[in-house]
Amino acid sequence: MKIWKPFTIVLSSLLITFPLHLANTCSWGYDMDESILSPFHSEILDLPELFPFYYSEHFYNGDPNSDWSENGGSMDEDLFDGTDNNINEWFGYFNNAVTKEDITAIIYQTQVSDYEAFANHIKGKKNAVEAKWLTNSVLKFWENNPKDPSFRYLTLAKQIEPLVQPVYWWDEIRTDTMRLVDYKNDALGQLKKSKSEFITLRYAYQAARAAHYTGNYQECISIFQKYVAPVQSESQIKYWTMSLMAGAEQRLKNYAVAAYYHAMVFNKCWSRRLSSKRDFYIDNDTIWQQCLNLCKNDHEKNTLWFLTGVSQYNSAVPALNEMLKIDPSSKEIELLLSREIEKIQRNNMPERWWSGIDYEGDFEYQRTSIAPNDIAEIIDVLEKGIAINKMHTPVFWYNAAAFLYFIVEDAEKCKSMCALAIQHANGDNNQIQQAKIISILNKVNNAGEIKSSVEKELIQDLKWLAEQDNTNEMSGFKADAYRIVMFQLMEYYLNDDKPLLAEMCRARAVEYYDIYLEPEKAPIEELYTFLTSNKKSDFESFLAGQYPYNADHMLEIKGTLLLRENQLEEAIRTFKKIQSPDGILYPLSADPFVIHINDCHDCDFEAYPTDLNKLDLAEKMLALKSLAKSDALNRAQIYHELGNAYYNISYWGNAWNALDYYRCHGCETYNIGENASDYYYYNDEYDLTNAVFYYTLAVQETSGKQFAALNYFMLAKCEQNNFYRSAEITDYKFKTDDQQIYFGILHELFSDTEFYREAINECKYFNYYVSNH
Amino acid sequence: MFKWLSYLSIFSILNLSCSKNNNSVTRGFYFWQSSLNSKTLNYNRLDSLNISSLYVKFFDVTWDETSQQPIPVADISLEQPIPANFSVIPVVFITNKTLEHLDTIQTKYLAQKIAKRIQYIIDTNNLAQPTEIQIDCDWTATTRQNYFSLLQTIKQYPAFNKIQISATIRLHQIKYYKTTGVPPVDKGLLMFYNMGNIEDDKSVNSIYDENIATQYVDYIKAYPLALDAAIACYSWGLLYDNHKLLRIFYPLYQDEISDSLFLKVGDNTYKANGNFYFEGQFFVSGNILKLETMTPELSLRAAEQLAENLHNEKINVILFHLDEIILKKYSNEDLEAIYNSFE
Repeated sequence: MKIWKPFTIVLSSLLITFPLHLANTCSWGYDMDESILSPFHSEILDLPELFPFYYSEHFYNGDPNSDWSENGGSMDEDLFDGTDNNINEWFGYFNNAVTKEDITAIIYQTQVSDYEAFANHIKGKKNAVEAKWLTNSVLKFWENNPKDPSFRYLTLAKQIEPLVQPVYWWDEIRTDTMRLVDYKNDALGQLKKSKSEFITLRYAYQAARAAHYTGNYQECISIFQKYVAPVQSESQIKYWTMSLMAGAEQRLKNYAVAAYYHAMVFNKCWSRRLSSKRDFYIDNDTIWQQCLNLCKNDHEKNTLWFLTGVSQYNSAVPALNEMLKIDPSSKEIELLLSREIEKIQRNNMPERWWSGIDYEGDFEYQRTSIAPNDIAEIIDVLEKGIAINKMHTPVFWYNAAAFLYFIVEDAEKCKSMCALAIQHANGDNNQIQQAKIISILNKVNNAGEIKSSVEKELIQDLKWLAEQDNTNEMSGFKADAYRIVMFQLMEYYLNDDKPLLAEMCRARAVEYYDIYLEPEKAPIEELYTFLTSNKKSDFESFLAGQYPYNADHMLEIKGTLLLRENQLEEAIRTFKKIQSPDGILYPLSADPFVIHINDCHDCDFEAYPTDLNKLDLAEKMLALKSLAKSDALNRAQIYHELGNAYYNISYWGNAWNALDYYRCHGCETYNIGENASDYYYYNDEYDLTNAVFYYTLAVQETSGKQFAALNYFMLAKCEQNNFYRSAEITDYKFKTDDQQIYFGILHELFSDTEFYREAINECKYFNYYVSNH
Repeated sequence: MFKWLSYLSIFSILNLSCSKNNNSVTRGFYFWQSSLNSKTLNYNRLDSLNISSLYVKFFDVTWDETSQQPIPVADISLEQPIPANFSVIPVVFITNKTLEHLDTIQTKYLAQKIAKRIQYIIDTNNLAQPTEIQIDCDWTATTRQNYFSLLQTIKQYPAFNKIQISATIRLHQIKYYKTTGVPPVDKGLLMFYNMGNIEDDKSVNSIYDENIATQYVDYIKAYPLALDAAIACYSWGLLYDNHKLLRIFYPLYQDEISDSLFLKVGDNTYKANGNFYFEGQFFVSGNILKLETMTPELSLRAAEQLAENLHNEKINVILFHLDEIILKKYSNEDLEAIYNSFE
């Protein structure tokens, strides 16, 4: 962080009030900057010098917890860093005889020891400096001009620097007062000898700095008054010294004077803008009146009102009204307005609707209430400003008014303000787009219901809102407006008993619309019919085009639901209707016909990949069922394979994604009997009835003891998994004997098989059972 | 005979209700502001009340979003030396948010920095090595692991190994201790205040509400850590705009609310009568300022309610907080009565 200087915090630590976000520190963060749908671009104004003061949760409000650096991606931090200015001033001093890079190196990349070396070098001592300095143009300048006062000044500045630098937060603060006093006296002595205003000003700054850090506040003020105040140039060093002086006044409890000078520094010096905003502090109204009385002109008063209005914790309406009287054309009033409108936007626009789950759920957005007066007051300010007609950026005022009229649902005034905004846009494309966004919102909000005439009128607007163009600064605001419009349309269609069209709109109103979360709840048949219909109106076609899924997706879901129902023939017919299976019918995660003693999905994904998709699977299962009827010799093996397939396409198996799209990790012990409807993934396919059926048939058909043991073990696994899902499970307790029938059979009848020994080694449950029976 | 028995029963009940806990009580005060000017504090009066401990907040630790690290803020400035007959107990407040950001190693590193800074403040102000150091944090189940690790590491700091480490305990941490855990410290300090909903502009007093307190006191006895007691004696102002809490003014007293600026609209609520600066905040006409105040009577009631549920043989009773206004508003008798509730 280049700008933030911890030492200037000292003053603010004296304040005894504290903002709420310090008090409420126990809650998890909720970033309002990103949580509200924002169709209004409140940072649309071109105000780089005021950028940190746009309304934001990350607003730079002067306390260490604020993070203004997140205030927006387009903020130019260098604007608030004095380095470039200082280098430019020095460049002027050296009369262009040196390079800026060399000035940067000499001032910002050196320590005291380097200056000692430079002194020796200038005196002619060989090898006094590192080779890298030999080509430095500033050092060469000093070689040629050994009496130039800049070298002596920079040497002193470099000596003072470590004594007044901000310390690391946790460092112990031990100011070397004696040395600082010596340096201050040296600076004062030199400035009296100096004939250059440039150097004099800098010596005065160093002297004031040393005085401040040694607690000699009165002397700090005197140095400013005597040596700096009379300087006419607008060097930032003047304002750096003024900032020190303001701090000294605050330490001496001259609060009105301190606040006044902090405000002046804020006004004149961008490199101290952030710290002076932070240090501007008015305790009570007496001080405030005294501070106002110190102002020499309206511009200064305007600054004071701006600093008052920019407070994060209250309405800026009083400040706006005062600034309207003082200077309605100032940039500051527009920034304050943008802040108030952003607050209103956050209180009146919907929160992002993240959920895409509930088809029958609550469609209401969460809105926080705000007193209507607050909006009315800002509208009043806007109307007065527009009437005065001296705005710096008229189009912003019209757009702002249009947006507020949209919020208070005054459609006519909103419409006329949008028209005025476009009229006064002067080719500002962002502002034109802003007016268009508000105009569309207003149109939809005012429609009251959706008719074919409205649909026709809206279609081009919606197409424009839906356009995605990341290079367009307004893209995000258009996208948010689109969501709001789609939400509104959804409500209209619901009221008009057109749930399918409402669903099309809902898909674009929510942030993550995901039909696969609860596919069994989706109106798949109706969606398929709608998406494939060739009788759609233009507007319906537009909605269908915006819908994230197509007819093939619907067929895939329908086929999957049929697979769940074990309707293999119907599933096959459905899957076969898919016109473009690529990307729709994807391979299963692993071969569902392999089985192990212990399930390991990840191992199977890697060891047994498959090209089988859902259609192939259904066809193969159907073929196996058919084969089982005719192939008596291999019937047991076929039943076993079918058992494996049914096991593996369930929640428990390696190809669970045959029947579902998401799998809940850790849901195996979730008691489906309780609160099932509350659970996100309750529709996971846990049922093992078909697997049990075919493993049982395999046992009945086989004459091989080893093979029977394997199938009994699989039946035991099904039994175990069913137990996990039963109402009887609590805290992973072990089952009773009557809940472990198949372990019992294995133990009683198959203990002489190789598989039995293998199972004991691999399966801890079985091992435990055997050890205890 | 029956009549005498009745009198005897009534006498016994009265006698029981007036009985003391017979605890050994060490009396203390919190000092929570960042500048302690001894000239404005009447140490003689504290002495006369046998107040021997001053729990002085040395600094806060908050999370700095900009540098993404924990930082100390609001260091104590002891403008005058504290008389040697008072024990100074360093207190450090750590925001829960700080702990949310740290991993185990960073937590231990922070603990060492906190310990080092405490020692630095002790040394530079020529304070006696304390007998106790207190850490204040409204930790939660999510941060308990970090917080407890921090406490253990502070305890292991070489200069502190013979010093008792205490931690503040809030009422919800008492009730839900199985979730929030019990900090690994020598003792806890039960903050018997800040129990209401501060966000609610209709609540009467979020600092202390006997009814709310009743919902918690039964859990105190079961808490598996010795507890000292902290009783509120302060007053603060809460600024609301459109029923939304904007800011806290701490401390704020009735005398500071000027009739020329505010219109009294309720028992403890005031409406801004114009636009003006007050306590560093620009008030807008219509803003509501709610003053929540602990009176001597209310503090005493809180003390009695807590004392009924705390039965330690040795207990520190600390009043929150010490300033010259509190010393004016609470007479010696008031303060005696509060401390005596625990004796």
